[in-house]
Amino acid sequence: MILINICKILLGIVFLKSSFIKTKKPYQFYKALEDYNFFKKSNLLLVLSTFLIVLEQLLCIFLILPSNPIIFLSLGISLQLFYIFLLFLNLGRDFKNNCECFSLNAPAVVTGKNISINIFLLISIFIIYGCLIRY
Amino acid sequence: MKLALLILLIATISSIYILLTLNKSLSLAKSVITPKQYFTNNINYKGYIIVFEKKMFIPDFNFYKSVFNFLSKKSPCKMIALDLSVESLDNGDLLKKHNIKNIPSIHYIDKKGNSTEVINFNSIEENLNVNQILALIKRRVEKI
Repeated sequence: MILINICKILLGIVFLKSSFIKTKKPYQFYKALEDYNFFKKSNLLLVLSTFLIVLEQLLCIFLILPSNPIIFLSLGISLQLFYIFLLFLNLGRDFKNNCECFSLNAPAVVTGKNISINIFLLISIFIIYGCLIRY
Repeated sequence: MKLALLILLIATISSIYILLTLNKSLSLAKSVITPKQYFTNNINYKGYIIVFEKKMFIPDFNFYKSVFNFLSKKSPCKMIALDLSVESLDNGDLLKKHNIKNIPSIHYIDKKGNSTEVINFNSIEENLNVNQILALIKRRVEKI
């Protein structure tokens, strides 16, 4: 049980670091998402980038603090599935308006490695949820 | 229940903060002009100009934002982005007119159109943080 909690907190720290960089550099994150061509309208993109940053902050809070596992599972699945989908749509593309500061979710060059890391994080969330439910 | 409310409050505050910061940043990014726009709309301009390479704007955005906010408190300030990937006469004209030898740099333009280099970012030591660079700019600005 202690080991599961340590893994849960470690995963929380990964998301905490990522969300901290995004909170510090929201404009760069906005420009990175703009390059990914998911939303054309700037207002929607503004709301989406804010929503994604806040969602990630909430996810790391729920992972680090003791909480109901279903909350971090649903948050983690929605966030990771969105990023995997977004990266998959832009696989192999190279972006010039990217500051290269969001290597986890919005890299400057999208490769299979980036998608694999995101899939790994998604699976980790599933495993931690499964372990918490079982023990 | 209390924890849920607290987290909801944090999420709301965070959303508002990010939305406001993002809105301010977007309007700042819109105020960046090209040399052509500078020549068209700023005849007899008096104030500071921050000249940098266009492709470096996004990676160094937070730095330029701090410098711009600091300088615009003292005097009007314009940010000019040079696109060096394409050949443009306006780029050359701007560098020649204001005697700009280094990019990125800050220049002060007086009433007569004479330019004084406030700081050349290439000459700054790499280990200085934003606050130390702002302090250095402040010292140089006071000398002018």
